[in-house]
Amino acid sequence: MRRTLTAIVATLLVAVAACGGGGGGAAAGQLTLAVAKINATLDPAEALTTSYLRAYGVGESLAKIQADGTVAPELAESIEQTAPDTWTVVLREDTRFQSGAPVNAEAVRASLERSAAENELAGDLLDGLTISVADPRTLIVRNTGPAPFLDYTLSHYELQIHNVAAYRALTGSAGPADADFTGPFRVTGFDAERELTLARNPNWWGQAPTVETITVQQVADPDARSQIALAGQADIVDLLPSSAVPELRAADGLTLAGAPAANTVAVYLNPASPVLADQRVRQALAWAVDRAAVAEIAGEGLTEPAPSWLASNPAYPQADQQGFTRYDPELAGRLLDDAGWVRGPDGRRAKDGAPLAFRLQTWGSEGPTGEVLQSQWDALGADVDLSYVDNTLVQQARERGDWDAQTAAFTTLGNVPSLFAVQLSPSGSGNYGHYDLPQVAGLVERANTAADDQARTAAVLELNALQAEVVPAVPVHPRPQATAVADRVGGFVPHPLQYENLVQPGTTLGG
Amino acid sequence: MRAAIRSVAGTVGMLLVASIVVFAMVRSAPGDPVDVQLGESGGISLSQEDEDRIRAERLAELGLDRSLPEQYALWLARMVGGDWGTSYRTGQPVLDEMLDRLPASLALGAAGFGVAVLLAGGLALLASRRPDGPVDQVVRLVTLATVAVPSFLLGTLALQVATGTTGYRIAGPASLDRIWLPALVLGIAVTPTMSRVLRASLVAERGRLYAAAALARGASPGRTLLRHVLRPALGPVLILGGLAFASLVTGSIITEAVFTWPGVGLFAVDAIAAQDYPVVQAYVVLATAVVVLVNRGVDLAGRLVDPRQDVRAEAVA
Repeated sequence: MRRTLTAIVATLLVAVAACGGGGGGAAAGQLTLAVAKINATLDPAEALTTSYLRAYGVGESLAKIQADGTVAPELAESIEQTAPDTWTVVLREDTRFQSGAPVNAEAVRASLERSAAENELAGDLLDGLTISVADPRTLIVRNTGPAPFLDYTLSHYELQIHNVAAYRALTGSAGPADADFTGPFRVTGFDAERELTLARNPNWWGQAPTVETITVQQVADPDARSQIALAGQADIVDLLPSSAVPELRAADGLTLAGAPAANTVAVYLNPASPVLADQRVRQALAWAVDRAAVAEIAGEGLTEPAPSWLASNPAYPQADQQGFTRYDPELAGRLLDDAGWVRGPDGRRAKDGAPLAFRLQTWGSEGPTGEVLQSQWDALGADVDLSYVDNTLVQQARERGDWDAQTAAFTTLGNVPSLFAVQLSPSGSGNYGHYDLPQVAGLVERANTAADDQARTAAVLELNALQAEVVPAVPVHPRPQATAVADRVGGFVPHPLQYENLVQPGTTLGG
Repeated sequence: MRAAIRSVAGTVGMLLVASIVVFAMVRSAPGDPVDVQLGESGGISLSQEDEDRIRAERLAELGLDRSLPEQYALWLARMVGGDWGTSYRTGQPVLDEMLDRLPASLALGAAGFGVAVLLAGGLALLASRRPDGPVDQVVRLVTLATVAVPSFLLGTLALQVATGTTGYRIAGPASLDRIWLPALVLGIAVTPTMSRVLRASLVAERGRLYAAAALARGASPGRTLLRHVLRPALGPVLILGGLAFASLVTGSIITEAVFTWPGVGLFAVDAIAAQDYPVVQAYVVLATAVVVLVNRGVDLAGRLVDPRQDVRAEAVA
């Protein structure tokens, strides 16, 4: 027995001695990322793959949404609307896939067609479009009707251009040697849900990046990611929890980049709920939100107030002047009084004996937002039964119609009239409250057929104003995006779509 | 022979029941994998009709449009035939994914168990030297306090301290320079129960006649402990240790997540979040199999350590 114990002790001592510190310092030329999730596969036609590959500079689409919300060509040299229903795409000269195969119009069409056929979401984006090849560098993309936002569609990460020939012959899953994209970095190693390694793509069309290799590690636990950032064990760390923000702000050797996301966290309201059926009640709830306080408390100062739903889209700065531009509890109180919800001696509001009370479900990163809203609406005299649940429970409650108020955050960048239609038209998948607004179809049509940008913007802003008037959802703030960037990293671009823009070709590494 | 057949039949029956329970539980969770995938379709403005169509297509692709009994029968038949299905997320065979990650979990479980054995053994020996003495009281306090600390909190605190003081590398492959910290946390988490049980067992065995006789014959207290008392005292600890080992290998999900340890536990956490049914089901069946096998092994080890168990078992029979 004594011999056994001695052997165990000796083995453990040897193991611990062998462990050492193992700090793993940053290598020159190697960028290290610690992210919440890496791509599930290397095939862009598979789900949960494409946005990640774009985020690390592996894949490119024909165009790309910029930090200011506008679209710029990416793999394409130019993308222009040549008729109301037609766009002409001219490819860059002498572009090649990472394998060296040429990127020509036929290859691009084949890529888009493969995505449409094998990826349902890409298929939906390309639904109704006809893509034809005019010459080796030119594609003509036609829609069945006017398509003023087609450049946004072609910018989508689901439509990354890949070499179809490399994937066609596959019998199993795509490996690093099969992944053939056009971005500045190519895949050299892939371990699903663990690690992705990349190296500079010598065939890239642009100026060669200074970063030589990239290691992307999946670290699902947010606290572990915070520790990695604080310990300087990665150059870029994404989706940090708001609870870690103060410590990260105070830390040396890193910067906390926090561009508000291009989506608006909003409280969707169910008009089938007796309390929320009256538009004045919904408006009152919207006026009673102190958005600056919510952004400061729940978003740790990494976000900003969104007075209207479109306010998180940087391409529409006018939306900041629409909707609930101030905190006005007096107006909120008057609206509730008008609607018959009057304060009792206890300060709580009621109507015909029924209290002003409703359930609010939050999920994901919206827990703190829900808590601040509960407190602010409590001051208005409303009783909010707050619960923080899993997203699937939120969806199920919606399907059953058994809900009053829920948080959700739709992307505001892209085909904006269509994004409004999703939330406001009777057939929209995001019209959770089944609002039936006859004006919506006409305004969407006006935006899509407008003769110029000015008229189009006017129609879009009218849609935004309609949203603020009817209040199917109370806009609160864009989702905060906390990304830690080590001081040695240069060229990091805070982006409203940070999840697909972690690495840029211009990213540099200091000593 | 009859006992062996009974044992195998019992094991198979237990696995079958576990598979039914697991299948029912996994499928009764709200939502499905398509919800998760569609939930990530940022910026794509689907009409309700399109969303319904895509959902139906994807469910059919994954075989989730069939009835639950049909899905279960199909899954079970494939499992028995060695086909554990394909992960919805990675597109890789689940068995390959599991086998790829199992060594990391086994290594962590074994290392954690080693730490627990050392700590529990040491503390129990210290505490049992003078029952209810000052050392025993201090050990009792320390172990009680340790039990009260949840393992995720212990892990997070340990991570903070270790990264600051030793430069511990948080993310990366399973390696010697990373295993010691999660092993320490796991070991500490199971130490209190093991040490308390061993201490009680040691105190009880020390009070027996054979121990007093050994001392009377002139054996030193240390020799009496190691040669006479320790072996029979290990009986109850072996059962507990076996269960602890099984749970350390398969159930250290939270520790694996906190330390980004690339084992089956972390894989299961991600699978649960994505409702990756084949992975979750395979994980639970694997965990059940490990627990059952370890239990059988513990029974065997118990008989080797203390042959009196056989005599008792025969007497009962």
